[in-house]
Amino acid sequence: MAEISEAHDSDSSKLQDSGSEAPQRPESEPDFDPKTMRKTKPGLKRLFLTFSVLFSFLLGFPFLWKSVEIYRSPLPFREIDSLSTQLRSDNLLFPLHFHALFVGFDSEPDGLRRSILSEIAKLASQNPKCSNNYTLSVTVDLDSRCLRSPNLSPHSSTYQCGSITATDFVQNDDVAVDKRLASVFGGKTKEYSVAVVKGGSERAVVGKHRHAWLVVGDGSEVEVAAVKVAELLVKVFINGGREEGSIRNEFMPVGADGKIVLSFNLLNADPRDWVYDWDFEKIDDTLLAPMIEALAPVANISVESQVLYHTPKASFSYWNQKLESYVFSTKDLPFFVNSNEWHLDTSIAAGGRSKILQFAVYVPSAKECPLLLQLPNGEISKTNGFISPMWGGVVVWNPQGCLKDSEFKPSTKNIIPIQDLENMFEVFIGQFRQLFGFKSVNVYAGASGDWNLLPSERGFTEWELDVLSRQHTCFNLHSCATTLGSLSRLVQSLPRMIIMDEIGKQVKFSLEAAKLALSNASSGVYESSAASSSKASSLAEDAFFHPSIMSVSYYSFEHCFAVYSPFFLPVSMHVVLAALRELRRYKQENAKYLAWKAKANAAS
Amino acid sequence: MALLRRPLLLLLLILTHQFLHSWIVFGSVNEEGQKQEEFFEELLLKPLPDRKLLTHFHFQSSAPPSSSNGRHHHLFPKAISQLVQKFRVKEMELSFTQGRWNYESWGGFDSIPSSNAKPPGVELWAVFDVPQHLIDAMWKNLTHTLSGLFCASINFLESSTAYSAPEWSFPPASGNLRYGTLPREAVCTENLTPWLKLLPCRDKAGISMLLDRPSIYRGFYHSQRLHLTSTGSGSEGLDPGIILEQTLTVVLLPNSQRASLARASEKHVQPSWSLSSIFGKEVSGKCVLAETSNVYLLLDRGLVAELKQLHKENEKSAEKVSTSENNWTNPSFELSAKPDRIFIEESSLLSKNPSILYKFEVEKYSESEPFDLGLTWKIPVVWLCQQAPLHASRFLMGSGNERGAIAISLKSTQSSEGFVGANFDDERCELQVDVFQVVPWYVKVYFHSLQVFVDQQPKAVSDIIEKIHVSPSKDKVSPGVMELVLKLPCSVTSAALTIEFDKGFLHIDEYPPDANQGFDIPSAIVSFPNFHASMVFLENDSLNQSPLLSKFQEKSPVMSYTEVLLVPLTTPDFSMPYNVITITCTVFALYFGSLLNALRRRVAEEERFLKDKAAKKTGRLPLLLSKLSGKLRGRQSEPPHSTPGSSSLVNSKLVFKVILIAGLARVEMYADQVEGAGKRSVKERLNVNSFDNSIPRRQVTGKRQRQDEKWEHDLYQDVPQVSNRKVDARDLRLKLQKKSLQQVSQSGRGALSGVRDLRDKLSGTMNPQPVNADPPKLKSNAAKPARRSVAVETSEPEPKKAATMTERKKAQQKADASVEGFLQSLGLEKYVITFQVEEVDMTALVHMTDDDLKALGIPMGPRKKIILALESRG
Repeated sequence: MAEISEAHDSDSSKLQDSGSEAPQRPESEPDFDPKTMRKTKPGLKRLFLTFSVLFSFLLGFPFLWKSVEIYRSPLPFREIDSLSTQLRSDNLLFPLHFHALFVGFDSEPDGLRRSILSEIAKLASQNPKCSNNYTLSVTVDLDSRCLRSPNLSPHSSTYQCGSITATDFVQNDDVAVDKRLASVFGGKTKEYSVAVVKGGSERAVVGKHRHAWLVVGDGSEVEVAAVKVAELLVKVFINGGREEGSIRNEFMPVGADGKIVLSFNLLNADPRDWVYDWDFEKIDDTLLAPMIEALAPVANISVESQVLYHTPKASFSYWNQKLESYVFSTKDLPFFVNSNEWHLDTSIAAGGRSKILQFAVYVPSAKECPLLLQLPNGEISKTNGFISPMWGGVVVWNPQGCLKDSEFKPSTKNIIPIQDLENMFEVFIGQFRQLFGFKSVNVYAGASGDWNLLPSERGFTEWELDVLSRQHTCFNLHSCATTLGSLSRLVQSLPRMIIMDEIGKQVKFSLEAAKLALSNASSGVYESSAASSSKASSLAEDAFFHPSIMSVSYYSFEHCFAVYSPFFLPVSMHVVLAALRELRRYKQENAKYLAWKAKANAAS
Repeated sequence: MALLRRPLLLLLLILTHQFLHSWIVFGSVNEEGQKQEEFFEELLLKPLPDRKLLTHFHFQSSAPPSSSNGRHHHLFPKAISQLVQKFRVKEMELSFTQGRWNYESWGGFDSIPSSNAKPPGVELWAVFDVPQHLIDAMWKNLTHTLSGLFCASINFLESSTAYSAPEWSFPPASGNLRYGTLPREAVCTENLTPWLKLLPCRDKAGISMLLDRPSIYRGFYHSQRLHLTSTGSGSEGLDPGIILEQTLTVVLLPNSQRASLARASEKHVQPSWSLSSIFGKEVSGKCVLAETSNVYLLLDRGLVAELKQLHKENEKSAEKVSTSENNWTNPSFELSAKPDRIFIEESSLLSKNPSILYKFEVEKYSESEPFDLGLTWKIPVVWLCQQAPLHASRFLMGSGNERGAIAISLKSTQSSEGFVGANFDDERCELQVDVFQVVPWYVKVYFHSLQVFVDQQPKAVSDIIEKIHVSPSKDKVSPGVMELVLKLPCSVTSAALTIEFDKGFLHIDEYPPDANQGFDIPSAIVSFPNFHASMVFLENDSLNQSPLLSKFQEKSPVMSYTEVLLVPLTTPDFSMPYNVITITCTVFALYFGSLLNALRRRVAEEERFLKDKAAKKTGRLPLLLSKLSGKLRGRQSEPPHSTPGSSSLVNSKLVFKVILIAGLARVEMYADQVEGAGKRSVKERLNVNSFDNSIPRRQVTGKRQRQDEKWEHDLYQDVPQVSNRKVDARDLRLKLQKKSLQQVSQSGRGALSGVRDLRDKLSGTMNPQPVNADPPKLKSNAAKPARRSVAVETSEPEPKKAATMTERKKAQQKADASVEGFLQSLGLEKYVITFQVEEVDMTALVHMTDDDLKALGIPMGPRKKIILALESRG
C-alpha cells in the first residue's frame, strides 16, 4: 500500500530508457490514471536479481547444513525396540525335559503324570522375566511291563526299561549309584531324570549330573513320592535349590564383559609376630582349575594371588574367656574389611569392566590370636568366614596353637599347611557358590522332605551349571536389551551427538548375538546361548560406554546457532526483505499494467 | 595343674611337629631350584659440603622368572608385575622430583647423582619388548595405567607431542625406547603413598618408617624413583623375572640451631645430626620380610682426604679410633652407634683417598632399643664433592614474543684435571659429551642456526660436533629432538651451544589454564660416556651382596640434567574468537544489505520524487528527515501526509521491528552465554596467575586442576563450583610445598588457611566478650590462635594435611556409621556391608533410586523399606 502512493510515477521508471517522457503521457491520454495504471509491462530485472540472491542463499543452505552436519552412524532403532518388546512380551522360554521313572510301582503313568504336573504348576512361581517351558514324561517300569506316559512324546527318553532295578540302590555308596545312573540316563539329551525306586532304605539324593533318585519303603504311597518328585523338579532342577530372597535371583557376579577375576589375598595382620606364606600354585592347579573349567560357559575366570603384610582389621574383637579366644561379632562385620590398609588393589590385568572378586585369608596377629567369628545367634561360625555380595569373601585362619603357649614364636617365614589350605579353599568355593546364589550346604530341605545334594569335585554340578547358564542367559539378554534401549533413547534425544561407525557396528553385532542367544535358548542349547548372550551384553555395554559417547564435547544445536546466527540473521533479513518488497512491488505494478490493458482493450 | 600341663605338652608336641612339617615343606620349595621373591631395604647417608645431608633410600624387590609368578606373588607387588606383563616392558624408569639437584655443591660424579638426580617434575622412560609399530600404543596404555597407579597426571604423556624416541644419546638407548617428561608436575604425598604401597612393609616397619612426610617434603630436593628391569624374557612359557628398584633421594638441612647458636663464630663446623633429629623418627628393627636391612654412612673421597689432611696438621699422635659402649669416635667426628663394618673403596684410580663406608645392620635393633644413628662433628671441615668434568647449564636468550635462542653452556669444573676416560687416540686429548634435547613443537627450532663456542671463540660446527641426529618437530604431532655428540679438547674451560627458535602459535584449545605462566622446555641431558661413576667396595661374603653396593659398582655413565626453561608465548585474549566471529558477521551483513539496496535502487524515480516534494514546498526539516529515512530504507520515503491506509502499515512495521529486536536479543543472549563462559575462565586464569605470582612458580600447578580445566572447557554451567574446588585443591597442595610465612599471610585467597585464620580470629574476638573481666587473658586468647595456626602452617605443612585427611576420613566414617544406624533402625543390618563395599554414605544413599539399590543387590522388600524411610526422612 505504501507503494501505491509512490507508484504514481514509477511506471515510467520501469521503462528505463523512456522514463523521462513518462510524465508527459498522462496529458496525451485523458482516461489514463497514473495512480492506478501503467502502460508498460513492469520490469523484471530487480525482481530477478533479488530472487536470484535469495535462491542462491536457499540453495547454499543445504550445503552449509551438510558441512556442519555431525556424523551419525545409523543405528537399528527398530530392531532394538523389537528385541526389547520381544523380551518383555513373550517371556524367554527355556525348554526343560523332565523324566520321572517309577521302578517297582504298579500304577498308571498317565495318572502319575497328571498329578506331578499339577504339583509342578502349584509350586512353580513364574519368574516375571524368564520362565520355562517344561515337558514331562513318566515311565513306570514294573518287572516286565513298561508303561510310558505320553506314548509318542517327541523328547521321549532313551531309557530302556529294565536297565534299573531296585538292587542297584541297595548299596549305600551314593557316588556309585550316581555313576550307575549316569551310565543309564547319560546320553546326548539334556533331560532331567528322577528315578523313584520302591524297596530299600529311604533316601533321596540329587546326583552330580542331571538326575536324582528317591528310594522309598515298600509300603509307601506313590502320591507322596510324586509330590516329592514335583518339588525336586521345581525347586532344585529349575531354581537351583536356592531360597527366594536370599540373594536376588538374576544377580550374577560376572563383569559386563563376561569376565571374573578371582583375586586371592593372604593377609598377615602383623608380620612382626609371624609371617605365613602359602603354596598357592598347588591349590590353583588342584582345586581351582576344575571349577574354572566347569564355569567356562558362564564366565571367563582368571585367578591371581598375592600376600600382603601389615594389614590389621578395622575393628576390635573382644576376649571370650569361655572359648579362650577372641570373638568378633557379626554386628561389627562391616568394619572387618579395612580398606585403608588392605591394598587388595584392582587388577591391572583385568579389563575395565570385568568383575573382581576378592577372597582374603586373614591371619590374625598375636594380639588377637585365635580369632573367631560369631554368628548373630551367638554361635561360632564353623567356616570362620563371611561373604560380602559383589565384593567377595573373607576367611580367618588362626595359626595352630597361637595362643596356647606364649613361647610359640615363629620368626621367619612359615607355610600354611596344605591341609588347612585345602579346607580354606573349600570354604572359598562354598563362598563362591554363595555369591552365585547356591547353597553351601549339601542338603536341600524342601517342604516335603530333604534331598541330599551330591557335591561335585568341580565345585558345581551339571544341573547347577544349567541353572546358572539359564539364569545368565536371561540376565544378559535383559541387560543387553535395556542397555541398547537406553542407548537408542539417548541417541534419539541428542540429535547432534556424534555416533561413530564403531558404535553402529557394535550395536549390530550385539543384536545378532542376542538373536542367536534367543534362538539357542529356545532350542535348549544352554552353553552356547549363555556364551552368545554374554557376548551380546558385553557388546551392548561396549557401545554404550564407547569413549566417543562419554565425551561431553558434542556439538550442540545451541552452539551451532550461536556461531552462525550473527551472520545469517542480519544477512537473511536483508535478502528476504528485499525479495519480498520487490515481489510486492512487481505485483502492484503488474496489476496497474493489467488495469491499463483492460481499459485499453475496453476502449479499443 | 598336672592335668593342665599335659595337654599343653601334647599341644607343644603337635606344634613342633607341625612346624617341622611346615619347615620341610618350605625347604622343599626352596630346593626345587625356584628362587624366591626377595626384598632388600637400605639407607645411605652422606654429609654434603654445604651443611646438608643426603639421604638415599633404596628398596629392591625381585621376582624370579617362573611359570606362575605372573599371577601369584608373595612379596613382589602384583600391580607392577601385571604392568610388566601387560605392556611387555623391558625396562622402565619413573621419577617424581621436586627441587633441583645442585650439581656444584652436591657433586655430579658419584653414582648417586648420576642415576638419581632427576629433572623436576615427572620423568618417564620405558623400553618395550614389542614390534616397532606397537610401541606407541603400548606407551599410551602404560602412561594411563601409571597415572592411575601413582595418582599423577602421567597420562598427559600420552599425546605424541609429549614424548619422543631418542636414538642413541639417552643411555639405555635402543630403538624401542620412549622418553617423556612433565616438568610442571607437582609432587606430593599423593604420589608417595602409592609408591610406598609397592613395598611389602609399606611404611609400617623397617627403614621406610623413617619416611616422615613433613620432613621429606621440607627438604631441598627429593626425588622418588621407580626403576624396573625385566630379566630374561621367558622363552618356553616362563614369565620374565623382574627387578624393581625403588629409591627415594632427599637432601635435607639438619636442624642445627643449637649448634649454630653455641658456636656462631665457627661457621665451618658442620651441623651434627641424628636420624631422629632429621626425620623425627627412629628405626625400630627391620622389616621382617627384608633379606637385608642396612644403613650406610658414606664419607666421600673429598671428605676423607680433608680429614686426613687435618689429622696430619693437627697432631701426629692422633688417638686411634676409640669405641665406648654406644658411641664410636674418630678424631674428627663421633657416631652414636658402632658401625658393624667399615668398607674402604677399592682401586680408586682418581684419587689416592678412597671413600669410606660405614655399615650398620638394623637387624640388631628392636623396638625397645631403636636405631638412631647420630653424627657429631668435632672439628670444622671444608671439602668439595667430586664434580662431573663439565658443569652444564642452560638459558634463554632474546626477548619478545616472537623469537629467541636456547643456549647450553658447559663450564669446566677444573676439579679433575687429568681426565682419565678421555680419548688419547690421536695425540689430541678429547672429551666426549652427549647432549640430548627435546623441544616442544611450538618452539620452532632452526637447526641451521646451531652455533658452537669453545672458550668464547666461535668454532665451525663440524669441528666440534662429531655426530648429530635431528628429528624436526611436526606441528601438533611430535616434538623436535636433537641429539649431539661433541668432542671438546680436554683443555676446554667453557663451551656453549646456541640455537635459535621462533615461537609458534597454539590453537586456543591447546593453551593450559595458566597460559601466562609460560611453557616449559624440558631439561637437556648432558652425559659423559667416557666417564663412569662407580665405587667398588669389596665385601667378604659375596652371598650377602647388598643391592645398593652392587648398584655402586655398576659402571653408569656420568649424567647431568640442565634446568627447565620457561618460554613465554603470546597468550591470546580467550574471548577473541567469538568477538571476531561477531564482527566479521556484522561486516558481512552490512555489506550484503548495502549491496542489495544498491542493486535495487531506482535513481530516476527517487530524483523525480524529490523534485515533486520540492514543488510541494514542504519545510526543510521534514524534507531532510524524509530524505534520511528514504536513504535508510533504501527507497523513496513516503511523505508524512500519505494515504490513510498507512496506519496499519506502521503497525506491521512495528511488529516486525519488535521481532527483529527480540531476535537480536536472543542472539545476544547466546553470545553472552558462550562469551561469558570464555571470559570467566579467562578471569580464573588471570586469578591463577595473580595468585601464582606470590609463590615460586614451579610449585603451583595442581594435577587435578588440569583435568578440571579440561572439563571446564566443556561444562559451562559448573564453572563456579569447579573453581571453588580448585582453589581448595591448590591450597592443600600449596601447604605441602613449603612456603614462607609471609606468603601464607599475604595470599589471603588461600581458602583453607585464610578461613582458618579468620575463624580463629573471630572466635578469639567473640569468645572473650562474656569474660570481659580479665583483659590479659583475653588478649592472649585472641592473639594465640592466630599465631599458632600460622606457625603450624609454615613449619609443619604435612600434619595439617594429615589432619584434614583424617578429618575427612572421620567424617566419612561418621556418615557410614549413620548409614549403618539408618539400616539398623530398619532392621537391615545385614546389608550394611553391601553399602560399605560400594562406599555409599548417607549423602549418597539419600540420592539413590530404586534402581541403584537394585544394582547393589538389595532384594525388593528391604529396598522398598529403605526408599520409604528415605522419603520419610527427606
